[in-house]
Amino acid sequence: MKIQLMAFIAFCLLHSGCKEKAKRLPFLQVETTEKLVDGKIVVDSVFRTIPDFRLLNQDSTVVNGKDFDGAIYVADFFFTSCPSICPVMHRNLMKVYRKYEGNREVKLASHTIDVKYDTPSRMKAYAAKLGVKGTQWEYLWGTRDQIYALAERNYLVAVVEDKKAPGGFIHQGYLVLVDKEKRIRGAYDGTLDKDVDQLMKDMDILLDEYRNTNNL
Amino acid sequence: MKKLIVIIFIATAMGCSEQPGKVDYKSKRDEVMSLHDVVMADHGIIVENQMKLDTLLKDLKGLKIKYPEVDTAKEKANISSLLADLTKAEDQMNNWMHKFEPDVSDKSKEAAVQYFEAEKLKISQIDSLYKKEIISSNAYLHQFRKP
Repeated sequence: MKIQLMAFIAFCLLHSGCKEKAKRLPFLQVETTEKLVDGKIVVDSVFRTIPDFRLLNQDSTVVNGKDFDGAIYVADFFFTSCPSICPVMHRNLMKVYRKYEGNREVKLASHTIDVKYDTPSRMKAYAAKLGVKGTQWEYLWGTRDQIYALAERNYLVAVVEDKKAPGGFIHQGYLVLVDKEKRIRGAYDGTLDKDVDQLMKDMDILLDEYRNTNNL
Repeated sequence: MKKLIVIIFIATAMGCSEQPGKVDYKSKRDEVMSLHDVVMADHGIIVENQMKLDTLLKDLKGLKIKYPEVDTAKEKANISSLLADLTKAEDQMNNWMHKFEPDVSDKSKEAAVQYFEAEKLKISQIDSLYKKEIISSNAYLHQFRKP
C-alpha cells in the first residue's frame, strides 16, 4: 500500500512538473519574409545569426566563430583607455565571469573599438589587471571596419532598434547575450547592476533551455 | 580654560576650512567624464562617416555611373580632404583619452581640480572640433545618400 501511495505521489509530481512550461528567452532578431506557395502567401520566420568572423585575441591568436561553438556568450564593445562607461561595464562583467568561471558552456567576448591603440598585448595586460585568466573571456581585436560592421550590422542592431539611439550606441555599455546557434537572445545595459543581474538570470534560463533539450 | 576654548575654536575653524562653494575635484572629474561620453557618442559618427567616405573613395567608378555629372578627380580630392580632417580629429580624441588619467591619488586636491579643469578645456575643444567635422562630412555625404 505504501509503495502504491509513493508511486502515486511521484506520478503526480512528475505530471505537474511536466505541465509547467520551462522558461525560454525571446529571439531578438527575427526576420519574417512572405513567400508565394501554390498561390498562397506563406510567412516564414528566419532567425538572424552572428556571421563568422576572424579576429585576434589577447594572446594574438586567431579567433573565429567556431571558437564559440557549443557555448553561449556575452559580447560587448569597449576600449582599454575608456575612463567612464567601460570600467563600470567590465566591473559588472567580472561578476558574470566569476559566476561562470571554468564553465565550458559560457564565454565572454569583448571587442575593442580603439584598434590603433588596443593591441593584443595591451589587452592582455588589461585582462590580467582585471584578474582574468585564460581565454574564456576573449578580448578581441580586428580592423576598424571589421569591428564596426560586427557592432552595427549584427550585435547592436537590436539595441539600435529598441532605443532609437541617434548614433554613438557602440559606446553605451551594452552587453549582448548570444546563444549556441549564434542568435541574439538579450541586450542589457552593462552599467546597471539590475540589468547585469537580469543577464545572469537569463544566462541560467538559456543554459537550462539546452539542458531541457538534451534531456528529451 | 581659555586655552581649551582657543584650541576648540582653531580646530572648528580648521574643520570648516572647506569653504562653502569651494570646488571638489570629484565634481570636476565628473564634468570631464560626462563631456567625454558626449564626445564618444559623436566619435561613433566620426568613424561611421570615415567608413562611408572610404567606401565612396574605393568605388569612384560606381559613383560616376550613379551620378554622371560628378567630376571624379575633384570628388577624390574632396573625399581625401574630408577623410584627413576626420582622421585628425579622431587622433586628437584618441591621444587625449590615452593620456587622460582619472586617478589623481598622487596629486593634492588643488592640483587635482586644476588638472581636471585643464582636461575639461581640452575635451571641450575636441567636442567643438567633432561637431564641426560631423557637420561638414554629413553635408558632403548627404548629396550621395541613397534615395
